[in-house]
Amino acid sequence: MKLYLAKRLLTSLATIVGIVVVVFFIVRVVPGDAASLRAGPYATQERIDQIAAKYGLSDPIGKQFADYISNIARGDLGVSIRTDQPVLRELLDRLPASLELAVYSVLLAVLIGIPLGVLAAAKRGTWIDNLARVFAVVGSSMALFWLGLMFIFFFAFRLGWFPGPVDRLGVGTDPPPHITGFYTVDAALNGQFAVMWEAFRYLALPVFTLGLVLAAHILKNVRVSMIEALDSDFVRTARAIGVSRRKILFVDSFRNALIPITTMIGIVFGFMLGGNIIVEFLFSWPGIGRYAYEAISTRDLESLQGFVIVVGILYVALNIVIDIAYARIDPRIRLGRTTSS
Amino acid sequence: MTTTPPVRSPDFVATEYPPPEELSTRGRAVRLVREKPRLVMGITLLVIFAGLAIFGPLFVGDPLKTDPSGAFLRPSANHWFGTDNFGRDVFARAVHAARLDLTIGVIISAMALLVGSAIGVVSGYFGGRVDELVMRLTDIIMAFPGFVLALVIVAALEDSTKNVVIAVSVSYVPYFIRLTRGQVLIERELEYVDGARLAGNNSWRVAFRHVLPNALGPSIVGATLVTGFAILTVAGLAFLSVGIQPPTAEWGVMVGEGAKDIITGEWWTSLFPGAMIVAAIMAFHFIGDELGGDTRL
Amino acid sequence: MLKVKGLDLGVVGSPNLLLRDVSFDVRAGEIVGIVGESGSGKTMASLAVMGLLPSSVELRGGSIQLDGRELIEAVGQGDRPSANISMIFQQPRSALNPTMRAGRQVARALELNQGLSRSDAAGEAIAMLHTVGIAGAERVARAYPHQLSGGMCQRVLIAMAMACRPRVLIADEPTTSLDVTIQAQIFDLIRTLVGETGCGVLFITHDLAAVAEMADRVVVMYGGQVMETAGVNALLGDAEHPYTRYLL
Repeated sequence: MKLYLAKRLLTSLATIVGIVVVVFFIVRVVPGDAASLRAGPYATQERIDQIAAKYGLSDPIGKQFADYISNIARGDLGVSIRTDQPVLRELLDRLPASLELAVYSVLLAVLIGIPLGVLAAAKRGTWIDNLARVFAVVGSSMALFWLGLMFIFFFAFRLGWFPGPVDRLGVGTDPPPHITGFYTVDAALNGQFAVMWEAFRYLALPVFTLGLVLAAHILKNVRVSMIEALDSDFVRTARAIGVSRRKILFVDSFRNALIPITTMIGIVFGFMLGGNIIVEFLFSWPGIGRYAYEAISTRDLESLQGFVIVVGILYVALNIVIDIAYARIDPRIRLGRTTSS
Repeated sequence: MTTTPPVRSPDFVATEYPPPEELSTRGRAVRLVREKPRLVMGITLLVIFAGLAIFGPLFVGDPLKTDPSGAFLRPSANHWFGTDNFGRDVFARAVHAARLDLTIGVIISAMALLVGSAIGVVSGYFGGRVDELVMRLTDIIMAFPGFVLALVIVAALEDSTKNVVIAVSVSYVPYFIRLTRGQVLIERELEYVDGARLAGNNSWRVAFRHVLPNALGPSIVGATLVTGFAILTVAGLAFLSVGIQPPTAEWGVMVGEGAKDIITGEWWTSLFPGAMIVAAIMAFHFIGDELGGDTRL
Repeated sequence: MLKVKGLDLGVVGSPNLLLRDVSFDVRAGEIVGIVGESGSGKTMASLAVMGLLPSSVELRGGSIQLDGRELIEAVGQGDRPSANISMIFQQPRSALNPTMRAGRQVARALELNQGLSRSDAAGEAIAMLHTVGIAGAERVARAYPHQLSGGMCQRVLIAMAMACRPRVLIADEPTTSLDVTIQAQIFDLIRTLVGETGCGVLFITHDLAAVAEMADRVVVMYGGQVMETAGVNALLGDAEHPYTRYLL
């Protein structure tokens, strides 16, 4: 397994280098006139020149690339055109908000998706299965921005059950003292249960939006993986030696279905990093997704560049974690393939 | 001890089973609906949308025509989906959007398929360093969530329909590279490839004329799914005002504009276009699913 | 001991019959070979006896009796009709759970069928692996299926099957995917087990040479029906049915 991990780390490093290069290519090489693109349609020539000078946009590409790489190596992701602040700092400030949203969404998705997927596979062909499949298809075809909007309309405006999309807390409420950055956790740790409750209320709609859609993807995946396991030869053997239906479901099948399910969770997180821009925009959630939107709408390519690199690195790091989990579950990877006779 | 059960026909190799019943076309259709309801539903939806996209714009009004005095009219017999804040007929816009979105979806899917499968065939058939490089590149591109990648590419270019198509196509190319390459790896071990080589074809001809057509199977199925998801991506970008801009009638644009109306209670400007997005994607999803596509995208 | 009479099997929702009026017996200590091409229904018949039919297939008639006890009801309900019939299958490696150690899989069979405790079963599992001719049983018990050869996997499966102390062992093409040398070893193993435990064996194959070597009696199947049943020497020497002659 050590060898496998070392290999993965190496390829991941190569991927990160690749990500950095590709981003540079897209952001610096591709645009026709890099400076005026960043300055915006209403900029004066003076402003354009100012930007070109500040970001070295008129320098030869080789120099631009060298500066870029050396900056990143030092952890400097550039400075935002819009706010004139270091991009890395701004992203790190906003990361906890995004993480809180992401964690709760994935939690909800897993709590709904996995049990329902197992159930649908166990009761294949029945109405339960058909209902689950409908949910899976509808959810996977769902436009996040539309679902969120409808939720806001019905549950916030019409029914008033949840607050509207303004932020993580109401206007008059101060956030709890910072420990983890998760308002729900920090409030609880500080005994501010009213604040915690309010934080949950503001989390509810975006979490449901993301969570339900993710649940549909997870359900689809779990169901297919479980069915593959249930139809397999080794389950047939288990039935032949008299293993009960319940045991077959939860022990034999699920253990083997975990392998593709783990892979899927990686995909789910990837989906979420993209989905987060839309959900954070819709719910005015102050996370990195919202930051990306602001960057994009002002053509602040410097901030966007930083965002994409961070997201890419997070994704690669996540995949390594998934691979480690994968290796632990699947003995074929853990122990390598050796045949003894 | 020998037992000889009655054999129906004199020759023992005759079939023992009764011949299959002759079904009328109607009977066969009924059986198709019963056995594959999802496929039928998908095709039905697709036909409806295709009809809307092709013929709809001929019958509805002008999607850009504003009528300030008739703004925010509720859905009625005159305006099936009501009117928006500029007094434009939402249904007319939605129908024109159907044409735009479906066309874009198909184009993106086709482009990504073309480029991806060509690269995939070269990578899979010739192998070696080229293959390694291609795999490395696809890994990198796939490290970005598709939406984010398309977003950045459009940001680097300008907001336009053409650029959105390019950007989203690029984000789906790796998917087709992988699918085609996977199939090519299987195909190139088969006998007909040896035959083609022995017949004197050079490698490129063998790869493109013989192997590629046979390796396209999974990609074609994947293309149906990609068409749906491409529409979703384009609409999502448009919702964020990236790529396709108002006043173009596009589903994502419409939902984006209609989002503001929600606060004042005008739900119809966003609900209908959004519902159409979901329905359209469901159609492609159903079809791709039943054709055996691995929806674990 | 195992009496199958007039078994009819069909596809759900279709009048076609997969098996028609299939009958055969297996007595204690005897090896009965079922011979036929693919699609002759030989596997279906044994799955029916085991209660492992796929959901698309249903019983339409006939009887399955083990030592006088009628099993047809249980098969119809989809339960395991009898703990006294075991089966081993064609692709041994895929028939084992890839995420579970070999020893544990045998031990499970022991826990479920012999009522052993977990610790007792673990020890007994190693003994059983030894019985089926695996040298270094302890090492193999700790191994995962992908680390074992095909022949080894089949022995593990035989151990699992024998752990159920079966009266009848059904072997469905047990050596088709294995080496010829391993095949001989597996055949020896099966014959030894028959001698030691007195169980009967239903040996399914398309290979007449295998049948000639292993079986006491032979059932010939084609197209879902039994064509002929005879002692192996009688059949090979002087077959009556034209299809059997064709096979020979």
